[in-house]
Amino acid sequence: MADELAGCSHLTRAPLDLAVLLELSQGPEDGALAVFGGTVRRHNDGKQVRAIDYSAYAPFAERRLQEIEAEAVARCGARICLVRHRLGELSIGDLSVLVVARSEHRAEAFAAARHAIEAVKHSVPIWKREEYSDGTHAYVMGCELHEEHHG
Amino acid sequence: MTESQSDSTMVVECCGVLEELCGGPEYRLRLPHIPISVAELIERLAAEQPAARDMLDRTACAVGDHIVSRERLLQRGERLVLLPPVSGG
Repeated sequence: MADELAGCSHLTRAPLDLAVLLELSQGPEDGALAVFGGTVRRHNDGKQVRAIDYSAYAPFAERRLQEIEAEAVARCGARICLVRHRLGELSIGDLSVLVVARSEHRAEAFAAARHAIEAVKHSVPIWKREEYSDGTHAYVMGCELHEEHHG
Repeated sequence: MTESQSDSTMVVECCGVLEELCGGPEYRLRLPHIPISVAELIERLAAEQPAARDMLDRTACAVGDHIVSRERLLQRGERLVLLPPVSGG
């Protein structure tokens, strides 16, 4: 599994680093910065979550994350949008996904960040398996992929 | 495994919950002919792994980094990837 993420710049098994994305995205013409982070929460559907194990089909997920960044810029008018997703077993409170969007004014940055996280949830082949404190686990059933994501 | 057996076998990659339902990240499927449509391959997999059938109905299929239709013909050496409903974020 070591080279599963070879060539992937948007998927990582390492902790996500907001400071790196802020540095990568900064520009002198921007007056707005929107940041969205997804974190592992303790409860879901009445069960106590101990951890979440994230997996991905990496080649497809990497391509979609790159496309989502470009879509967020093109559709929402932001100057830049960066998306990173973490894989592997995450503990309560860990960051699973980060979106950073910058634009001249706030509306475009907010819109781009919102567009990007919704697109991640609907169209990127990433799965979460919740590990519960009682020793059981379950995959979270999310959104079906469709051929519209056939690039 | 003989040459003829290996010629009629395709390896399917099972992601997410399908890894559990099909017993591992890869599933080796003996097939009566190749090329074979995605739909026929999925039906044969569901027949061998009935617990996965409902999930297979909700599963997208990919070759490489693109989704393919159920009508798509799979050629020898291609690897079908099964993508159940996603839950990133």
